[in-house]
Amino acid sequence: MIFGLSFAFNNVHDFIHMEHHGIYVWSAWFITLVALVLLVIQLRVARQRFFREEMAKIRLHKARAERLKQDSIP
Amino acid sequence: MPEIDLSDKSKNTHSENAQNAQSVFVRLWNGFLLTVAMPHFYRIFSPWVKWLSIIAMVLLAIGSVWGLAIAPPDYLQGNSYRIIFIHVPTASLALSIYLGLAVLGVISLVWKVKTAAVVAQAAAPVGLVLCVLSLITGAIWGKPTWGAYWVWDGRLTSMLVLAFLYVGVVALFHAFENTAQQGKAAAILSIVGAVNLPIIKYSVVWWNTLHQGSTFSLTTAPQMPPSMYLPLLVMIFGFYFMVAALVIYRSCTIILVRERQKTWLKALIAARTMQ
Repeated sequence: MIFGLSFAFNNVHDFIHMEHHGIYVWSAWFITLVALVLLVIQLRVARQRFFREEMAKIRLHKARAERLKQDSIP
Repeated sequence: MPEIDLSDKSKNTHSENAQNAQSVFVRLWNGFLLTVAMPHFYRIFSPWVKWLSIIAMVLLAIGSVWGLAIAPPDYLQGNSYRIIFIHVPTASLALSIYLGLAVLGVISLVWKVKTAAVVAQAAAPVGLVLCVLSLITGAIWGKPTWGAYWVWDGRLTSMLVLAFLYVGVVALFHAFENTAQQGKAAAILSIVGAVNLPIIKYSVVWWNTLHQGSTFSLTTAPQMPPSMYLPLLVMIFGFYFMVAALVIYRSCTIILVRERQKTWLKALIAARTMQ
């Protein structure tokens, strides 16, 4: 009992079982969690891909400029 | 003729006032346009993502523990009602995001604010995911409560239509090569599809079949005791913060991709390569 709030179940087994409703409650929670985590991962991957591509372009550009400079030295 | 002078003077001040008011309005409007211009939007809002996601994670963690372990079981539905703590937030967010898409659609069509189309493009897939999640969690809740995963009830059917509208909007954002055309087509579908929103909202009143009525409304007292609606409120706020973080993050990514040729962004990427 903390701040007038107490555990709604007698023990952990009851908490997981939830009087035959556990499978529904936990699967709903699990599906939501997985979907949201996948969404976050997808958004992060898109952002990282953008920076990777742009930075690769800049490096390529620099390398080309270096080579041109070296070639032009007699 | 002092009278005429006076009236002339007052006329002048009137028109001056009107001009001043107009120029204040124009300046405010220009300031607004500048703030929502893509580089500013990126600079202003991208630091928010971190804080919004921290608040969202804290609220969702508190709400989940509270809803799953502390809230008392329902006298009629037992423990299956605990699905409400994700079903209601995902469903209400799916509706809010669609309303947002319609408003952003009007803004981008009428005032040609490009950022509105960007934010709509960012929000549409998030709304789709939440809409599908609300349908799935609703189906899971339906099995122990109604004895069936799916019934062709008014609320369920109109929510399924919303999911299809979301699919349409998301598809239109990828349908054309030209970003302006994408935005226009998706905005039109968002605005037309908004007619479904009041149908979803009042479906439980008009066709009172299986789906229960609203638990919450802004105008009436909640139909639940505080021990049940407080965790639900925490979860709803948590989902709102999470959606804000996701939409801002994705909007910023879209801005990066669209503005990749611009000077401000080239400087930003160059600074990143130095690190």
